Amino acid sequence: MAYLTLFFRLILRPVLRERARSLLVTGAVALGVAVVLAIDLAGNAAAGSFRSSMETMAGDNDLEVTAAGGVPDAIVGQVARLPYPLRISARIEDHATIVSAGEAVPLIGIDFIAEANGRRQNVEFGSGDESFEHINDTEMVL
Amino acid sequence: MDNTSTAPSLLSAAPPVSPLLSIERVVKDYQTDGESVRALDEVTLQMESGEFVALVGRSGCGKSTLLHLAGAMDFPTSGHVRLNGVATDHLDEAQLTTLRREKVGFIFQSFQLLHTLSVVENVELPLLLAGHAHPRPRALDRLAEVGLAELAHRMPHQLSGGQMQRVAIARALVHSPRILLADEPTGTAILELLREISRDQKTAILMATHSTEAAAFVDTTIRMRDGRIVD
Repeated sequence: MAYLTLFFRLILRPVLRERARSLLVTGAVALGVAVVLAIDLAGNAAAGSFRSSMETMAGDNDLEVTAAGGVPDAIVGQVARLPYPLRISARIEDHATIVSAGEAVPLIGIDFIAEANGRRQNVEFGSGDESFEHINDTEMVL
Repeated sequence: MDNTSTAPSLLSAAPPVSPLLSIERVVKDYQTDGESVRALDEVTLQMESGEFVALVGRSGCGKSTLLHLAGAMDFPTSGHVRLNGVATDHLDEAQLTTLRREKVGFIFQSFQLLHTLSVVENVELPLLLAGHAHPRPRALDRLAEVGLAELAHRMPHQLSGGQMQRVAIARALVHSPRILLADEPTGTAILELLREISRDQKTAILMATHSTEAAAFVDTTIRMRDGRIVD
């Protein structure tokens, strides 16, 4: 009972007596918390977007082997035959220019058979995915 | 050379029962900017119930430090403070809180009234903190003792400085402490009031003051200089 009286006198009653000040303080605290949350969310969104771009470019591989001038295809074959539970797929990454638009785009070459063996990645040409919009058009890519 | 500074009239040779307040060879050092400053230097004094003692000296001589040690709000660097026979440096936080709440009343220099509470609510505060469900009658009694019963429902900002000081005294006394510590109380009327409280309620009062006229109201005056008792 004594502590309830103290709570009312020291906390509740001053808040009710000075409503405008209490609202301002509450609003200011809420705004501060919202700004911190917004910054955190924006950071997460930027990181997610970057990760998504990386996956588009590099796939969801656990390990990527690169070499200056490219990895020789003979090595890819040798590695793929090793008796380990590995999924090996070759990938070509470069840039191309769309003639009609004069726009540079990333060019990714995928071994669909190897990819299809290891994971469910169904890419249908002409399905509306902009990433593969020009892939069948030999005239379009330099 | 014995550098123990004492208050001759307060010291008694090994009293048969423990005094209400016993301060024994207390040293208090503060660290400021990496330097050690000695606020109290081998201070010894004892007080019994009903004694009214004034600590007189310039600012910085250690009066307030001594009050804080006597009220178990601070602890000595060396030496011992015993309040009601209990060494304050041997108690944990909960025990210290109980000791302060039950045995000590403190009148602050700036009164420290809560301005969102009325006069009587300020006086009730120590009792509510101690868990008393119905503190109002006792708070009103204390206000009547300090002559402010008719102002019980005013807010602190509606009072004069002297009236605020009386409210602070009523609040310090509401839980019937055995010792009252007063930091720079001002005015003859207040000193008279403290004198009455000391005499009628057998409450020991230790008061820090600049005022030399306080000597007329107290049992003992202790003069301090540079952290030591000089007279």
